[in-house]
Amino acid sequence: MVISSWVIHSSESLFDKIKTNLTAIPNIEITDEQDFKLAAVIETKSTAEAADLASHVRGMEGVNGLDIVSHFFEDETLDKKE
Amino acid sequence: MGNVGRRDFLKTAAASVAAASLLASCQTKEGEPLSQKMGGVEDQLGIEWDKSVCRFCGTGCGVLVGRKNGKIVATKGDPECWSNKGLNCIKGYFLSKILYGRDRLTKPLIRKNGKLVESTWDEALDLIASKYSEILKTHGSDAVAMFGSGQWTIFEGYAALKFMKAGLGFIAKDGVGSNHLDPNARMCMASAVAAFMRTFQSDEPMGSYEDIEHADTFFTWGANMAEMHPVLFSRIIDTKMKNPDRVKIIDLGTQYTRVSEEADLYLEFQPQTDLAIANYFAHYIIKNKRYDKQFVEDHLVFKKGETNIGYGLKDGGADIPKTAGKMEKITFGEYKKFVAKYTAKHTSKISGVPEDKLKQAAEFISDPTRKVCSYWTMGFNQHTRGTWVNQLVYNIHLLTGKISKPGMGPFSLTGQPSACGTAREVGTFVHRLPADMVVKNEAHRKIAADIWKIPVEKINPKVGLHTIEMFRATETGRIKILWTQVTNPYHSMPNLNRFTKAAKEQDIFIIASDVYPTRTTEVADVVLPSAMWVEKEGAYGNAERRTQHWNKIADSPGEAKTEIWQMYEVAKRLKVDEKTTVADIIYNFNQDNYYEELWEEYRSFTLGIGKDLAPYKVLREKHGVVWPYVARDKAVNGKIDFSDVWDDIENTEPNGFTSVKWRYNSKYDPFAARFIKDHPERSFKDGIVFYKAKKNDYRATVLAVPYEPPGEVPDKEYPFWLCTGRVLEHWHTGTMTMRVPELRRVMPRAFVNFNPEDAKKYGINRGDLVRVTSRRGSVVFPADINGRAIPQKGSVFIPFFDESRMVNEITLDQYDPISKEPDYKKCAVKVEKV
Ligand code: SF4
Repeated sequence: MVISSWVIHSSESLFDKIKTNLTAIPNIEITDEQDFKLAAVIETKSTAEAADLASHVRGMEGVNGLDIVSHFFEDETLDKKE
Repeated sequence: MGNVGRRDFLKTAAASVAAASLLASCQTKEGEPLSQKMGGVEDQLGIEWDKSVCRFCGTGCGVLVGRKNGKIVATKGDPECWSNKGLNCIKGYFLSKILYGRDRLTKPLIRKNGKLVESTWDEALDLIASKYSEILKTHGSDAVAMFGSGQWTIFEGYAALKFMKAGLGFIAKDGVGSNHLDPNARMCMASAVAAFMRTFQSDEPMGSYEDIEHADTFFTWGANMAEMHPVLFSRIIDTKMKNPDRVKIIDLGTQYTRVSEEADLYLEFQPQTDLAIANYFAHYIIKNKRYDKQFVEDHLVFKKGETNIGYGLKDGGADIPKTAGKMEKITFGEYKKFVAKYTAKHTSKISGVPEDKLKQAAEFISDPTRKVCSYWTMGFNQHTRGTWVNQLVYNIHLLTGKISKPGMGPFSLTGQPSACGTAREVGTFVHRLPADMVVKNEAHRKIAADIWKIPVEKINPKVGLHTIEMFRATETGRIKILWTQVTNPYHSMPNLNRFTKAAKEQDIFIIASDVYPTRTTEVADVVLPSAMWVEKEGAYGNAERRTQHWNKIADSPGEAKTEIWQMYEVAKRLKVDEKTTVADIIYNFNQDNYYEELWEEYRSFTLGIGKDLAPYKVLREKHGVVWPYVARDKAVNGKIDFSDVWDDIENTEPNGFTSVKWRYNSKYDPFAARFIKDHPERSFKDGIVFYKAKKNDYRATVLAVPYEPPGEVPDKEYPFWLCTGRVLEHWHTGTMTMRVPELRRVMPRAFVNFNPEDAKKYGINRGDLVRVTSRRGSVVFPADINGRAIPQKGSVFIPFFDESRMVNEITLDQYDPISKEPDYKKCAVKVEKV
């Protein structure tokens, strides 16, 4: 389990559409918003999956930028039995 | 804790830091309390946090690193670091993964019978020390070179500077140290350095990243900030979103990028013609009386530069006139006449930019109501007239008085995390000493010798061989020993084949300190495995003059050691006499307090001169400190009493210090306030003074220089321009990012990017193999068309990260005759489908 969070910068005109599209992605949970920016929490199986998802969202129409805020990847680093 | 409980905890933690980051962008004052500091909810999961800095680009984002059971398990953008206010770009996902590539170097290697074989540290260090002794005693310090890095920590850069410039003189037969010490930063921002020194007599930008929140007009010159400095571009987008009608982005470039996509105006110009466009803007400003008369009168001096200054194509710079850097005083009227020939029509003809677009851009940059910031990186710096073009942008800001004020200023971004902190501030260049001092200046050598407690004669007054000439000197046998640290020149040098051939054929002893096998370790005689990033204590200095310190957080693998330790151990083996070693003289720091003592010695160079760095203890505590970090009291800074001007300074701290965000402005900078108070005879109505420009009567220089073409231009035989650079996924020569499987999967190899019309004309489709040939050689790349960026017609772009297809085998070793920085952005090539 890898949990991360992002800030997504959206264009004003497509803000609602982007929100709807993101909400439809099961791994993404929108947790906050302000000034056409969205805070989101992402749960994936791996960092690779999270990064792919970030690239996908960054490429979406109306997304002006995506920044990573936090990245918890304990299960990838430590022995899972620990 | 059960998995569900842990998941909920982690999600709550992730959500709360993301919410805090949304808020952080609204805060305007550094140091305001944020809801999420170092720890937070996730502390309950047993994660220990410590602060650090991103290992990649020059933005210098603060990062919090979470450790559990001795391993890194989490990272967060540091909300208390004002460079990034809690955000990291997508590379933040891979920060810790760069430590764990499967082929980390873990043991010293020595070349025996042509092969690198494992050795002990003692064997490797003894061999290195014996080579130094032998070569220094036989040939003197002129035969010894070191090539370092803008990724060196500040501690490492300072230790290397002392090793070369102070230490070797005690062994060398000529009795002086070696100035053949240059960083790879020569290849990334030397032009910015030369231009800052020629204009203001002090290196580095005057403003800070906070300008982004105050500005309303952004000019990006050949800088794809959206991919190369993404966190800063997010801040620009944020500013635009808050006031979309007012805020404008004007992008000028030779290829259409994500920045162009977001821009309100895009000007696509022919390579090198940025010189003409900047002169046109100056002409427009003067012709339309948009210049700030008072500012011109009070603060500026006008000069004309030498022209036809060559390209460094001949060894030893034989094609460069001795007067290349000369500047001669002219009047404002003469300057006005000089730029008058850069009309919209003339400039459009040279640059290919339509006249109406030139005028629109000129209107934005000259509008007195607009707060303008200009940003650039390698497009300007890696340029055969890089120093000129940097200065031409200062001209615009100086004429309009849009400088040293919140939201206004020219700002050269850096590519490496400590190009500023280590290369520029420490002075790890062939001509430099710390704090902008130079080896040629006797008084500067004396200051250094006093601090280092060595005879001044030990410091060599002769400027060393800059990067290109240093590597050319490996061809002639002049350089006999070369130590490379934290850099990969046998991948990144232009016209690479000639230097690799020399490394293999000449009798030169190469030592490479690195973390992974590279093209440089392939030609090395000894390879030293190094600790990286948070495996050692360190400090970086970023582009906004922010120094950031971190502690050792993780262990390094195998026998990897810090470069600080490596240099110390070699110096310990270099015997000056029976009782004394070089280490006793240059690294005479208490082992228990080594980093603090080294820092404080280095810091003493900077105090009381407007380059003042923060004390070690403050750096350990704070999440980055922007210099000058000025002490009010003379007793503390050692030189100047600021107590009578202190109350007029904004942002002073209760501890009697202030961190200056806008240099030269007396509202923020105590040195400016002191100067103005002490010079009542001069007019400083706006509170600004370029107090470092003593040689120019404290005035900044506006330079008249023309458009001149680069050293090689496309012709019938080689009809395309070749531009090289980075991609989002990979950093520099890919030695770290190509070890991250996720990044390698997304971008596994270099490509040649075409304009769609050129691709059609040559019958080239995406994925086709294309041979790209210059006068130096040929390399085959798969074609890319309609990718993230679109080169202009008649040009191709190739990234340089891929060691299996090295574009530098075909680039040209031309350089700016003033800054000596190579131009990786322009040479002529032909293409053919394979
Ligand atoms: S913008 Fe640069 S410094 Fe910041 S996280 Fe990305 S690569 Fe690192």
